[in-house]
Amino acid sequence: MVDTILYFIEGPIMETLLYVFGFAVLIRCLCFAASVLVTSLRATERLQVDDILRTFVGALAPLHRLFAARPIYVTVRYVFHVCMVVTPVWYYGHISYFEMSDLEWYWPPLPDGVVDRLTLTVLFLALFFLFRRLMLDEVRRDSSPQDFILLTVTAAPYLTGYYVTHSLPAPLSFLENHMLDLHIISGEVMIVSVIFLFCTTRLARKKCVGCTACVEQCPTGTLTFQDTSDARTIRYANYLCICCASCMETCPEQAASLRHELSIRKFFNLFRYALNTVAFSRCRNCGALYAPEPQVLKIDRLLEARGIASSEHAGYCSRCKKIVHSSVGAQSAAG
Amino acid sequence: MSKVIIINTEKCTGCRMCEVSCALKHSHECNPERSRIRVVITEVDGRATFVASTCMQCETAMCELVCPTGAVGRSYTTGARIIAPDKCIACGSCSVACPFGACFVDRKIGRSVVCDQCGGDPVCVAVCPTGALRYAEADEANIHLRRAGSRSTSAAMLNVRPRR
Repeated sequence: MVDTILYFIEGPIMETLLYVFGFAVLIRCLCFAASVLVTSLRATERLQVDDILRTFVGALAPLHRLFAARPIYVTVRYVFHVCMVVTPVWYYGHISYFEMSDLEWYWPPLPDGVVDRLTLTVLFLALFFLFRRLMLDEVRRDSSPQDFILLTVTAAPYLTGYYVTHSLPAPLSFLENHMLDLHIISGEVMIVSVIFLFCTTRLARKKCVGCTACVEQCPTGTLTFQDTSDARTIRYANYLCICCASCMETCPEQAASLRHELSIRKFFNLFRYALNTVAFSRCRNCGALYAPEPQVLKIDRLLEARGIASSEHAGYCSRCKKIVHSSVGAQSAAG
Repeated sequence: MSKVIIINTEKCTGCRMCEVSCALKHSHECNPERSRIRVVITEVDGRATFVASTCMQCETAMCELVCPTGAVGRSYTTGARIIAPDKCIACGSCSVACPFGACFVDRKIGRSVVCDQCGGDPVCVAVCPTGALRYAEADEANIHLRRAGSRSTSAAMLNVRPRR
């Protein structure tokens, strides 16, 4: 019975999953290429290919855009991701499977000691991220159950793998007997979740004022905005996004964030979807809708904090301002 | 002392030469929507009134107070308000805060723009056929403002709905 399970999960199921994984990666690359092509055909002169390439390479290199703002966190995150990829791919045990298969692939493995240390690094940093998520108030407030599930799915293969290679005593005898099964199953779960893993931009609805600074800074045209008669919608295409974090970096309200997300719907979603919708403010004089309401309120607050009677300034559309305030200015200068 | 562009509303005929020249000079495009000086036309009892409006070079500038990146500053040479294009993130805070609606986000270049007085030789002043625009010292502008205020020429326009 036990052997049958082991046979299935490490034989046909794993094989199928690896093919599905390769196919899914191909599909995602094609979707990305198609999205970029469609956008560049539609766009005017704003889409810059060299800028896209630079940010893409920059995202893979250690020097991420956010490095200057949070150097320690960015370094830790980078080390975590590198260890996460290197450990399973260059581990001798995994390579030997490929060598024994019909493919007969072989690539030189890393020494066991190094792999051990990398695994421990991954586990330690996973603990670090877990505690960070639990301890830091601002991070905990943003956390959803999915974040913890993702962390568990990520850490599980490394933890079980460490148990298997070192034959450590597990807390339960059942766990101890089936540790290899657990390792393979958790690895398979991880492979499946990587297919549906996206790193997407989110806008905090309470913070975002609809200023579209993120839209203007986005190098790929992933973020767009659409003004309807009474509201502005900021939209986002998950396949165009290269996770360069320029929206995070530029947002004056710190409303934008890049987050990992497991989503089957996004895998099939080639189109833009709405991230946030803000209502427009109405001009006091002519009644025209002219600027996002949260932004007007924010400017009001900012100016009031500086001791300036602000509602006079922000309450009118730019056309009425020219009439209303040129006369007000003239009168106050006269008085 | 810095210089400003003085607008004499009584001489303005609404020909929009300033808009066209400004757009041509700064955006190389004959598009008044992208001009940094705008002419507003209002109607009182069938009688049209024209007001040209551009950056007033405020001493305490609202745009500078609200800019989240500190992109708004002053030019060393002319003393005019400038928005540093490398710092500007096009959030439009300045255009909401500006009492005169002078700065705006140019969506084509993705930056906020404002009158920079063409670096000391404003093209709108050069092309104005009636002499409604003048480029003069700020002190002189204050005298003009007082005169204009005492006449209260634009007071009548306060409660008027502008033509769209």
